[in-house]
Amino acid sequence: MKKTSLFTSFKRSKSMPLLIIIVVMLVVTMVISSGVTKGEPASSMFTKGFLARGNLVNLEYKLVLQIFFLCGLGCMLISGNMDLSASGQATLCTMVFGWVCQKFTSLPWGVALLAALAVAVVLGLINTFLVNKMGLPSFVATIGMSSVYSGLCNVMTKGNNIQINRASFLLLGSKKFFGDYLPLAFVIALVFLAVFQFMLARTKFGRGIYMIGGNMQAARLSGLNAARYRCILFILNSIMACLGGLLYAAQSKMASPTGIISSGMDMGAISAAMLGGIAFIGGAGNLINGFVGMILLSVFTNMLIVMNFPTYWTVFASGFVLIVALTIDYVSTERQKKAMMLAAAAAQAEEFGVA
Amino acid sequence: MKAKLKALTHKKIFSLLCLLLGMCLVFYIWAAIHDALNPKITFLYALTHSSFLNLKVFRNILNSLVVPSFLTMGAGCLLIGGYMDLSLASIGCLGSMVMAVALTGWNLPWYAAVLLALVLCALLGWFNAFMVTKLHFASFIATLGMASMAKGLLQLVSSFGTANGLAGPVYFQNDTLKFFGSGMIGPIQLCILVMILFFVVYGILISKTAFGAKITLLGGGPVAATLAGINANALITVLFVNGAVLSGVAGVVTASRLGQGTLMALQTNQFTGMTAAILGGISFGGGVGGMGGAFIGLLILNTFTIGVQIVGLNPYWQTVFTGLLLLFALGMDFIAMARRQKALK
Repeated sequence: MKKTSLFTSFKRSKSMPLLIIIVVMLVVTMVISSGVTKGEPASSMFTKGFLARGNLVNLEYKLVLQIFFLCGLGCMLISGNMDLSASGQATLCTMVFGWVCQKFTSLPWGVALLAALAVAVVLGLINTFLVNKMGLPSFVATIGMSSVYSGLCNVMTKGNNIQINRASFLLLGSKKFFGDYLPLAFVIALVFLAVFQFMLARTKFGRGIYMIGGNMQAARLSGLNAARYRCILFILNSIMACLGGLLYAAQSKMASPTGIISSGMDMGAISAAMLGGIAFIGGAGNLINGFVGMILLSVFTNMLIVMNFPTYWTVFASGFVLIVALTIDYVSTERQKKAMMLAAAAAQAEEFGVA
Repeated sequence: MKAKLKALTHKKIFSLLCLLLGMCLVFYIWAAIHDALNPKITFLYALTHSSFLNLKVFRNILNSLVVPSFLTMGAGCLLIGGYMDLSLASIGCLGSMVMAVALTGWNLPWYAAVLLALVLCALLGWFNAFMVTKLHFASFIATLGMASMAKGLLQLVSSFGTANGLAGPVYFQNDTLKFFGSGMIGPIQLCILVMILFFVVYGILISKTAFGAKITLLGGGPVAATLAGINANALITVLFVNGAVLSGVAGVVTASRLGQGTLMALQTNQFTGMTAAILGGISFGGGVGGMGGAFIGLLILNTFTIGVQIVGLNPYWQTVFTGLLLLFALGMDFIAMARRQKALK
């Protein structure tokens, strides 16, 4: 048995074609958006256009909430479940946070944070109840709940935003490191991503998630309690949605009943997860590949923005890129399958030849 | 006789009708209480001159059914076949915009504009089917991508029709289309008749013909369907194209009613068709359900929406209750199934 080298395993990973696309895109964008083709000096490639500080920070901020969604929803998808209520949950939790902050001005915002987290746990338990006890498919149950949450948020304030003015909380959304290139919120998101990836790949709990998603029957026979796993995952997912929503609120300095829902970031995270090879039916994929998929999607839309395309092209492209990337993925898997079949046939022929 | 009655009460449609009637009763009494809060009106007067149970409200409900009904039919057929399409609303919206631009920008006659819109919708539906059958994408993710592509195209097409070349609503003036959208034949609107006709045709198609049986079989189990000699790919293509064309019809009706192709129309309906179909007993996994149930499901949703407005509730509650209603209907389904399984044991 030949041991696969790091390089070959990288070449075979789902991220490989995605990374190549990203690099090509980056180079093209850097050159065109900085105006080098129009006679600007080559050094402006690193200061203008795509790599300009404003644009990069913008891009990172857009990724924050999506990364949080990816952590929760990625685990959800790997376990073969689905939660379409994540952005509703995020909104409701931030509204609760904003409401507590506004109502009890004397309390520190940590109390409001605890309240929001408590609400998140309850929301996760509601989803668990619907799926585990009522036996509803998670897809439909969470569509229903997302409409409930979005309605409740609007009912709370009659559709108005809640301003948040706690200086130390807002710092979470505005503090930046490395000469203002790296927002604190982005670092927090990456830490969570790393923790979740570690949990999936290295712990017993993580392996259980893969087993449940891959083969429910086998998982049950080997003594895994699928219902309990689902419960924990639903709660983890709503907590991640809550935290992501709070960082989003810190950045926009208010809790809005429509902002997160209309941004469609949970759908963005699901698309990214699929691009990274997290299967819709469960049991496969990992969060790092999902993250690479997410970068691909957001770099592409950002590229169109810095290259001054009209907005409708960016809307069009977010769908188009998803489909193109899936097609490339499909072609490469087909080719791998074919190569494996050929290798197997060759090995068989050799065996017979020797005999 | 008794057995027949029992069989009837165990039908899904029966429980849905009960839900609908119960809801009407609640709204009837609620509206009366709401009106009786006014000291000049006695409760009895409010009951006999109900602001909920009258012809105007009934007509309003029917009017509001038309646009989502086409989406429901398309989504319902797809769900019965075991697939879903999240791009229906966006494709329909694109269709309406193409029609508006063809009428104003390119000065085409109305029938050519409508035909162009429907053909474009059919093409997008075919592309959805291509992604699902040939490239083996999950229909959820393929149509999600399509939804955002259609939204982008919608804005692009609208920029051909507006005066300043930016994305925005495109107004048009056409008497034939206006008549189709809101013209009356006797006491009811023309497009309501069209909707009922479509529901009858699709209902018969799904539950009485061999074609419908094939779709149900496909939804029940694709492997079994293939073994039974059904060309699954062709059938899936027909379903997706059918859904896209029906949503194109929904788009044409919307544009005809408003007299403009808008960017926002239909966008709120992304899940409406699916919700109504599932509420009406079309199983999410495919293979179960029919158009009658889907129609009642839609009727429940829209009666609810209008009832909430009449009793003067904060309109945002409506979103809350729509979700709860869906969960309630699904829960009822679950209880009925559990009871049946118990009876079998």
